Amino acid sequence: MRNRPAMILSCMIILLLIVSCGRADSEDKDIYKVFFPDAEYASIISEERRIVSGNSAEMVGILIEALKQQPSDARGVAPISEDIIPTSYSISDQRAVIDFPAAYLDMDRTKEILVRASVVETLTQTEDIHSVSFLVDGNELLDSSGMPIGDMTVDSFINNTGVELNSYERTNVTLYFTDINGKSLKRYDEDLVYNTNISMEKFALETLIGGPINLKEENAFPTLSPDSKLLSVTVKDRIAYANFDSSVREEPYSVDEEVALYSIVNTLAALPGIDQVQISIEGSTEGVFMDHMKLEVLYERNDELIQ
Amino acid sequence: MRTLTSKLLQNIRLYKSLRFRIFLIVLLIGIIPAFVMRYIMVQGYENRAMNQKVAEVTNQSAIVAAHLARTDYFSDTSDIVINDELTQMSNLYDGRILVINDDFQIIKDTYNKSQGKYIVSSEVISCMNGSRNMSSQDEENRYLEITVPILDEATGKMYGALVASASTDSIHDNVEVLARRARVVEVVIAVLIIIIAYSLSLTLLKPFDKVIRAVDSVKEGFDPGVESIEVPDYTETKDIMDAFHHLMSRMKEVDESRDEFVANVSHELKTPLASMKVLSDSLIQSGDSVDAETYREFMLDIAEEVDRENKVINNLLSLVKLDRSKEAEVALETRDLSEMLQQLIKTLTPLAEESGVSLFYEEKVPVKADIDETKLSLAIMNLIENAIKYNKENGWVRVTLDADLQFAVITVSDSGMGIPEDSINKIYDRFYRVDKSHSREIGGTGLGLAITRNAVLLHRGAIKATSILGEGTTFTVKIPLRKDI
Repeated sequence: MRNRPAMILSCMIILLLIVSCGRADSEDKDIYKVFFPDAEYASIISEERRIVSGNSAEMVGILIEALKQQPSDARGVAPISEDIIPTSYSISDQRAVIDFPAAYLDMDRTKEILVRASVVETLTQTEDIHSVSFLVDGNELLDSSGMPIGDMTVDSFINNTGVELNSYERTNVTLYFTDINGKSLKRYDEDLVYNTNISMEKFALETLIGGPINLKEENAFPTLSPDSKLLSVTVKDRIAYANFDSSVREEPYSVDEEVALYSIVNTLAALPGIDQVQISIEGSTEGVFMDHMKLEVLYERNDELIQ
Repeated sequence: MRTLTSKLLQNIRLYKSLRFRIFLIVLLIGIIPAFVMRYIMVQGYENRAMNQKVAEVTNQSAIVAAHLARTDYFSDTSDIVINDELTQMSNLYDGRILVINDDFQIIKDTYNKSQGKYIVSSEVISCMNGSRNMSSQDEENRYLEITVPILDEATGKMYGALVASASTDSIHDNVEVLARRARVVEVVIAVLIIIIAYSLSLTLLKPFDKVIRAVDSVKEGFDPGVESIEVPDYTETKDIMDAFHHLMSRMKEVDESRDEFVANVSHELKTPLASMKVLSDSLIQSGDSVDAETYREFMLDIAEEVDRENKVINNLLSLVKLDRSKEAEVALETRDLSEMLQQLIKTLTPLAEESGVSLFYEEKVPVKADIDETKLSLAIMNLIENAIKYNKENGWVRVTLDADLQFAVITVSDSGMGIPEDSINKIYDRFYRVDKSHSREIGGTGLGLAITRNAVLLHRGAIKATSILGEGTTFTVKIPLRKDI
């Protein structure tokens, strides 16, 4: 009974936490980013605004209003200046169409692309807008070669080169590992996340060297030494040239030489645009892979080893 | 708690030990440069390799960009030769190449992923507007990113930009290998340095151990003689041992002089007693046959010997008193020195007349000084008494008083027998007599000059004797005028 005040207090604290968490969640929903160019028109920056949403048409109106205002971040300028205030806008099928006055075309290219990016990136945040299309005086906006620009989505713009280059994507890779006996290959189709700055060939071979540890396969065993290093892999005329360092010759597992070699060849050949594989070790195609498989030979996909 | 304090004490002892410090200093001097060197080498290599790579990729991109500006690739991106060229470059640098037109639209991506997108990154915009090459590094993903403008140099027309990414994997791999090797070297150096520092700290201080052992052996009572405990390894140890030997010989001297002093005291005290014994024995042996006159004569002699004994003891006591009294106990008062000296002359004139010696007093300036009158007058009296006693027939004694800015100078000169050169440093020793054979007939205790010297030193003064054998002796006493000088 002595603990009663403490219990009441802790209950209150828990209640408070629940309430505040709930509030935080609902707040997150109302946070929108407003994108705008910086004062030198050299990049795009953004700041957060809290906007309580109504319907989508209302939302677009509010966001266009927000884009007209000078951002509170002193480094930036309002994307929609007074002379290019949209004459009208309409929404249909998650597609917003905004009509700008003729003065829109007077902007230089850098300013124009930044304004366009700011408007599209800001508007496509709402759930109801997927793409945005620009009109000038009722006609479709054209690019410098006279082609209509058409619908733009949030993916149409890249604000940061590094992020785009190193963006991570999910992809399906076909890898060949062996079983406990090391006498045959087995095909595994894996959905993996990879950095788009790495070529698919490199990613596939490095995953192959890494072994099936990250895969959810129980009977898969690695074919190559985990110390092996892929020095380079290039594709030319449908031939993949894979260059390893000498530690690829080490064979810590009891895997047949054919199985090890064809795990490389079959994995590469499973990628589009590759028919043959030239393996080199430390840049040299002389000698043998491990024991007797000659390096000078162009290898093709081998189905006989596959279970 | 006790173990804790003792541990702490041990640590302090260890820290304060020169051996430990030498170890530490050698260790730090050896290891810190190794660490710094590794850091500078690896970092330097990485920067250099990175800059080279940037230069190489930028150069290659600029060549491709110039090529693109000369062709009509921007209106037709299916040009096989150029696409091949781009793919090859992409393969070579293990990265992606994007070609961007003047609408900021990507018209070619060697990985076929971003075609058709608009790129509004700050690098591309500033590259297109300022026609500058841009480069940035992505440490995390190990990529370089180079942006070069595609520009027709002749017309100045801006076609777009080329973005090339290049893998820096190989640089990072090389740096790793280099760093690993450097670490191995570093560990080897560290181990070597530790060994060197340890052995240096042991060997460098060995002579000091010898010194400690030598001093310890003397402490325990072993006296191997001065020469046998030399430690000539270092100048410092040699100096320490020399100082030690000096101290030892000084202590020996003190020891010897004490022995001599005891012997002298015993002798001086014994002489009157022996006389009395002889006198009284002869009286006893004579029995009743001694007449009253002879008795009286003998008793007078005995009384004289008692006086002599008494005098020796008194002198000894006053010497001990002077020895013990510290400076604070010296009652310094400002006194007129000429008055004091005149008083002394008056007292001693009868003695001088008795010995047939003329006594002069000469005063160059009247002097007042801070002195303890009793002690100083005793000291000067001893000097004048000696001058009278050790004089020759019709000799003279001259006492002068002079002063400079700091000191009062009293000299006592005589025309006496003088002091041999080899004795002049010993005359202040207790019971030392220049001419032992005549001591008895001249009298005195052998303590007078010792008392004088002590009294002068108590005044922070100085005493000096100069003498020519057979011609005379001059004692010069300097006493500071003010006690605070």
